[in-house]
Amino acid sequence: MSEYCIELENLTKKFGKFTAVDNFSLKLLPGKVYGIIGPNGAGKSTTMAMIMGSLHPTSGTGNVMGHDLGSKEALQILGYSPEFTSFYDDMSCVEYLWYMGTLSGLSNEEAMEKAISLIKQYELVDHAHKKVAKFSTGMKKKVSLAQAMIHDPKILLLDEPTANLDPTSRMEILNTVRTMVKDRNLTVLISSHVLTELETVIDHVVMINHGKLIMDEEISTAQEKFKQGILVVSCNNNELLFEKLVGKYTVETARDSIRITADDVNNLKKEVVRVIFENDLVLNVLHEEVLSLDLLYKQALEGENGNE
Amino acid sequence: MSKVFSRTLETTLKKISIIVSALVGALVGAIIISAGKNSQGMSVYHVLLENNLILQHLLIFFVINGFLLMILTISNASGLVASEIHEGTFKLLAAKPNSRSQILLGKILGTIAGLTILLLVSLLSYFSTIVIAHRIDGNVIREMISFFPAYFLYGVFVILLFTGVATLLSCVFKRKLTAMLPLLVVVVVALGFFPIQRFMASIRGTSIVTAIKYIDLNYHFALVFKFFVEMIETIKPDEVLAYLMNLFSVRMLDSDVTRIEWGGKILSANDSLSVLPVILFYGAITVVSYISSFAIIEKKDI
Repeated sequence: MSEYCIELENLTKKFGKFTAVDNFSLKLLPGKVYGIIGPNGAGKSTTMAMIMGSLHPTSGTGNVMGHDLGSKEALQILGYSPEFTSFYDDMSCVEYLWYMGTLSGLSNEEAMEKAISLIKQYELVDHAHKKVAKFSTGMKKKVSLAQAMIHDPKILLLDEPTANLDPTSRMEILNTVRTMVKDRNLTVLISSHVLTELETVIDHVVMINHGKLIMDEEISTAQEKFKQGILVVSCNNNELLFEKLVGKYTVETARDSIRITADDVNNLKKEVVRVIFENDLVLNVLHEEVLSLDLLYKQALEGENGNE
Repeated sequence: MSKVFSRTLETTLKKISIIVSALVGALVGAIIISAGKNSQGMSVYHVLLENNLILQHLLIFFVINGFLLMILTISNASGLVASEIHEGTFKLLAAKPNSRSQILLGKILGTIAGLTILLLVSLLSYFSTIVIAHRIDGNVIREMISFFPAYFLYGVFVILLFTGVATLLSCVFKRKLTAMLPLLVVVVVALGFFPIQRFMASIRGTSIVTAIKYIDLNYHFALVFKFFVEMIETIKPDEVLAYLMNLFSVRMLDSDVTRIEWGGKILSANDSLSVLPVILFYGAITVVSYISSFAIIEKKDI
């Protein structure tokens, strides 16, 4: 049996003449959190929908723990929260979760027990008997997450779980995801536009543009690969430090620090320490700039567009 | 599947649908009673017996098993898939470990069961109104009620046919309204256009049209209705049934007479089409519709 829990091979999805996903291959290891990022229309949701079997690939194949995409066995393993979740107008939160539980093969009692447990876990107790369709966007997202978890899936697919949410709700949702991953050792494939938040959750980045895979790396590996050798320095006289280094290096002033770019960061570090020592300055900060997911995204995308 | 069945049954049996079905049944009963009272002192039962229950047959065919049942069926079945896909709820149903065919089967069976109950509500409401609103002449009431199985079976035929075609359209189109429209046109044509056209033709003095027998949906449904009713009792030739359901041909006694007059004509069964091929044809449409719906839903992108 394969070590991967999801394997996609050369998946292509066309809508008429438009190619939404183009020859896309991906392998997911169990127990990891994968962030799938890319611009609007890049093919993230289409890819997730194909994994779920909602969309049929035009060509290519895939499996979930050896089961065909969209098969009952694959769906038993997967939990899915789509970007836009719609609920039945006449169902309360507990009724909806119970219904989704029974559809997942749980008995009436098991489904009710599970629904109540998830309602408590997601702090929806006060709203359990209110109509879900009338919930706020944040609460609907929670219910959407809860229904995805109702049958204890091994793999969770979350399509834009924080879209259109206020910062508090976003943090709540992400904390919920963090807890789920930690408690249950889930494999998660999550897409989001809010990259600064996403990087606190994921440990693997999958980047997609124009339906094509352009990056599939551990986030630390990706950061290492794309880092530019930027040193962030702050001392008691940043102006003087700036004067001493400008001309030799590319130096930019930031609010309380200066950013220095060099091909050889180790030599730069020595030079900075020498200048600090010789001018009797007090060093406050000295560190290499870590590439944020945001910057990583921009650089990878710029590189991709430059190659076209 | 059983949960989808229960859920669909529950949504089909909305309070408003039950109330409307009961009210329409009662209204038809009230019309029958009213017709009796206006008939120069004759009791409603004498009137009904005199005209061989033609009024009852007509109202059941056009109102209860007609507009009411057909519109209820179209309204419920057209949204089975289209509404859920349009509103986005089907995506999560399909994300649970069930095959799409299982989901669709649960929905179809739930709809058929719900509509059958609504049909019963309407028919029972009709018979109850007649029984409650008048002193009962046992023999007549028994005769009226004896047609209940025929009306029910014809109603089930309508439910199965319209649910099948509406489900197919619901699987093809993305919106409920688009799926509903073709069948609403069928209802208007079958229960409105053809009878009116035939009636107007008779007033103009032209003969009843039989040349369009293959597309005369009104005639097709009337033949099936007659088939079930005549399991209980033969329908006697009647001029109204000739114009409104095309079940009888009107023939002039004098071939030189070009204008139809109320007298001077004979009625004979309109046997342009046999009922068996008609039932087989619509049965085939029903079966093909269900099979196609299952095939489409499995391949459809949601």
